[in-house]
Amino acid sequence: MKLFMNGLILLFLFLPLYAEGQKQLRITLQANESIPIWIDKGEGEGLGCEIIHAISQEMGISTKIEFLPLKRLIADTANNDLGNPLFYMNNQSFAAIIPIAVTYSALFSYLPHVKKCQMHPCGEKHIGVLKGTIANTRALESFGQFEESYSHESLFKKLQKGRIDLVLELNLVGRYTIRSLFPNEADNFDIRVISETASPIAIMIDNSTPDALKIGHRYQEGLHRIIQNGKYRGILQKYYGKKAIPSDWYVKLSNFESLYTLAPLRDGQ
Amino acid sequence: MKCLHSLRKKIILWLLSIVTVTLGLFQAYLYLSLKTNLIQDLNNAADQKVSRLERDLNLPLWELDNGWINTIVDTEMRDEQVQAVYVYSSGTITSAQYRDNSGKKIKVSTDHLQGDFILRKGSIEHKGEKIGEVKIYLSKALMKQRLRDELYKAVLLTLVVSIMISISLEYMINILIIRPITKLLDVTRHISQGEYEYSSILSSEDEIGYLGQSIDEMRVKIVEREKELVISNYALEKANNSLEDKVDERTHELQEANQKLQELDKLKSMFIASMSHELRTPLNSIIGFAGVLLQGLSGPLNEKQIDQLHRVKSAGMHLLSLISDVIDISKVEAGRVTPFPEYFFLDELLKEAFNEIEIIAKQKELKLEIERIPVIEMFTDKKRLYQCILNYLSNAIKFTEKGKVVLGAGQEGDRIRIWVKDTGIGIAEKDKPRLFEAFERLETHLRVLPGGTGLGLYLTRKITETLLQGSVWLETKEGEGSVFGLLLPQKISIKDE
Repeated sequence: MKLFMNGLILLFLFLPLYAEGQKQLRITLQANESIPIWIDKGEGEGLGCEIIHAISQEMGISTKIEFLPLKRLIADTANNDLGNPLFYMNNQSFAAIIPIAVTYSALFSYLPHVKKCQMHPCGEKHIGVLKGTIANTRALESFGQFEESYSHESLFKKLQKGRIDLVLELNLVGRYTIRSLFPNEADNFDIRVISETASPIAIMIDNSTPDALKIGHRYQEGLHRIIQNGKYRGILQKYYGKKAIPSDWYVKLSNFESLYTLAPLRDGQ
Repeated sequence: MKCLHSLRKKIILWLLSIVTVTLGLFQAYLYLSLKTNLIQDLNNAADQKVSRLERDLNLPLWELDNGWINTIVDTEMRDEQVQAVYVYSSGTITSAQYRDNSGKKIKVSTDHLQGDFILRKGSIEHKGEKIGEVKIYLSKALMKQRLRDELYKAVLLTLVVSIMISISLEYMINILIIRPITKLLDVTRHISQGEYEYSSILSSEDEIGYLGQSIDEMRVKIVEREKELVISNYALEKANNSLEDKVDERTHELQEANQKLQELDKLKSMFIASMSHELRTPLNSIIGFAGVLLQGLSGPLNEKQIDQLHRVKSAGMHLLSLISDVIDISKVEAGRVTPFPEYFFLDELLKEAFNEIEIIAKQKELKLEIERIPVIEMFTDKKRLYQCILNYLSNAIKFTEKGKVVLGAGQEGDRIRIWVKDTGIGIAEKDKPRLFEAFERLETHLRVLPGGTGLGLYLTRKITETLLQGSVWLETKEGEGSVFGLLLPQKISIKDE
């Protein structure tokens, strides 16, 4: 499961613009809008954005996030990881990878259809996923038939309509989408979080970026600072609620940090 | 000149009408072709659009991506021909737009469009399952607007071309026809007024040019003939004067001849009067005294005297008859005899004639017969008719040696046919024309036998034609006999005088 969820966690790219000799470090990052993690409206909206800005504020870094148009990337997957989650991993060398958050995938179902047995027969479950988020759907055919959609909204509309049986989506994103589309029907959706799918949200710095390692260290230091001073937890509570933060969050984050941080990755390792 | 203007107008109107009608028909053909093509194009466009929508909406409708669906509908609505697009999913409208009268695109939630549109419906299926449908309305307004524009263009083009052609035609007709004809008309008018000094020769070498040459040749010939006419008139006047002199001379001669004829007529009248009175009186005495002598009132006579007296009496009777005939003919020819018609029955008249002549027939041992006569009442001059029948009977008996003489009559409509048939000598064909002429006695071997004046048949014809208003007729064959006949009106008409 981890394998095919890599695409989800590597939504965040790093493309710094480093101005030599200037006092304040100015960084520009690229991300795909994925509400409520990455929100392309207003400054600092979204879980990921808020963490980045909190780190930047803590470390005195001027960070600007550019959002790439998701639908365009979905439509043309030749130069991105949508439809080919290992694109960056296979085609790019990174000087540093700094996990800053953890995401969990969940399986969503619509209870009225489940109760009415209107869903597809067992073994032929139609599982909706966002296009490009699973690298190899063939490998997962034993779980059901995967059907890719072009937007989160489509996924959950289809689910509510009965066109698909399950939706595999990031927990936060799925919840947010259900609340947006069906505010009165939120209880009709069953959500099963799959803890094994925990994946990092990371800042990935390209190998060609000047002082990539140094920049990576600064972001990592910033992360530790906001965890220490409680800003980080405040952000998590904002999006998960005070009592709904996954219990293994920090453990997973620590594990990912150990696994990736400042360890140059090559050839998709 | 009025007629020329009329001709010019007629020619121009005809040609203009032909050009206008031809152009009009051509433009109408183009218009109808365009209309057909535009309707076909619109239908094809509708088919293409609904096919494209079926294809393009497949995924968005399956994905329930309203934004995507709206984008596709909005894209389709950019075509101004598209009046409305309705996308249905599960029986409800998912996305719909229509264009109002001002061309503004409005999003709607109900399908209420009505009017003259081309409608296409498409079914949207995903993996064999129907997930929605699409309806697209194409407006005919643009097509109609284009057709109107084309129609205006066609009418304008037809008018402009027609006017240009009419102006060109008027100019050409004026140069080629009207002006030459006007000149020819002037020349012919001068010629008709006797002014021959104007030439009608034209510079153009076409039909009108040849007409001008012909008129000029005619003018030259008229001049020549007029000269000849003057000469002829002079000769004619001269001849006329001579002729008048001759007519006067002949008139004078005719007047003299007429005067002589009048004198002769007077002499003839005097002669007839003399014959009537002076000759009859002694003849009556001769005949009378011969009768007295024969009766023996003056003493007995021997046979020789008796025979001679019979000859005298007979000759006198013959002479008296001759004189009577001549007098009758003269009166008839002079028109001095008028008919005295009366009603009588023809059969009685014929029997009377039969009885009178029967004794003569018996003397010649001839059989005299009368056929069965129908009872016919006639209104004519009975005395003159009786005279004619007696003439025919006596003639027949005279010229018949043996056989019989038959008297007959019959009615043919309002005409009466009377005939006397004999078995006599007959008449040669060549003699028939002369038979009813005066003093004509044909050469026969019987000529010496019958006495006669040669006036009997002539007198009969004259009486029949003049007084009885009929005609005589004859059928004869030489050596076999003859049939003499009269054809008379049953009633003669009396002229009011």
